[in-house]
Amino acid sequence: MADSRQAYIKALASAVNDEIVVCYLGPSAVLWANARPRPANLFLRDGMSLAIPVALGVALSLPDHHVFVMEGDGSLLMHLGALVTAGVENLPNLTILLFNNGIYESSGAQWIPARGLDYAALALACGLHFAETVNVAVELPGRLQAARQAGVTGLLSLATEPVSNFTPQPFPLSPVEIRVDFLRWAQAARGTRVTGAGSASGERR
Amino acid sequence: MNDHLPGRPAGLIAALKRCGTSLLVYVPDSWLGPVVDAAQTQAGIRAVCATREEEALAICCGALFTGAKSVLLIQNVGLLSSGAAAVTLLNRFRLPLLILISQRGGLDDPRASHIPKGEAIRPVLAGLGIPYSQADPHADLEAQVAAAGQYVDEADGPFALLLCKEDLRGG
Repeated sequence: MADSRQAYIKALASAVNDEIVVCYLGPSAVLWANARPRPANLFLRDGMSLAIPVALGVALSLPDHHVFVMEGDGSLLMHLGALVTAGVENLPNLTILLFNNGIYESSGAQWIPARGLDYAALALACGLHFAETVNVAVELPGRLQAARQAGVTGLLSLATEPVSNFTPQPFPLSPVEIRVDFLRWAQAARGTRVTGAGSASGERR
Repeated sequence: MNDHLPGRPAGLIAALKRCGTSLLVYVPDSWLGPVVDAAQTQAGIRAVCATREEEALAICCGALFTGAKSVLLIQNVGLLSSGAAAVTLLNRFRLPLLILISQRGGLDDPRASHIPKGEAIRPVLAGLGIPYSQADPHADLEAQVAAAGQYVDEADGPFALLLCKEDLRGG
């Protein structure tokens, strides 16, 4: 039996320091928000299949910061081309964490069209230079370190136990709060001032 | 340098630099070729080719989340296939993305394969809530692109500028 999503989130929380974490839709966002509330988190909360390209844009713009992006197998299958672009750009500061549970968990645990795909092999075929399967959560911190040390965009396919009792939970931040919090952190990290989005939270220019 | 580019495409590149664009994400279209080629040689602008337009839009949004200036360069049909990203990223987070669109299917491009795209783009942009304008072919393009860049900053939201063949290929 594979480990649970919660076990992987817990292992990730123990391993993350100052890295950016981009979180896709579904249960991972709430779990991560509770596990490691911090301004370097970017919660998409929707946009199925778009987490990897969003993370690529973040990584391109903040090359001195490492980006971990969570994605699901069903979501990745909606847009495999994202792996190709990530492989071509091959940024050393981007690592993809793929929850591989074989189901669309958020929508009621329907099976994805193809079960048992080897996503690490698929990632390598798409042009990534580092891709591995992680079978137990306790291995995750070490594999994260290996992925970073590889100096390329990497993918870790996390073998995850499918569950069928997902219940949507309210998220603690609004989209504007998510954007403003992350923008403030990013611009402080880069040493630039907050513009634009500041007006959304009452700071008009 | 843009010495090899005709006037209007050269003006477009100059405007992107004036606006502080650091990332240009595109999906190729035959009209976009000269601008893409020129952008790839511009110091300070990173040009990234995506596999499809919705992905390109999302890459741009990632940069915008950090406060970097990104611009999306696509054919009009690519916007038609980017609706989900437009509403879940652009609209939901109100991200200031400048979208430059080759407006295929007009009187400068009367081809059966492109005409439906040209007819559909305006109502789709309106439906997505993305303000837009067709660039005036008789006015300076650099100034118009720069104004569009100022618009997204001031509105703190997206804007699409539709470009004709002469804007992108120089006639």
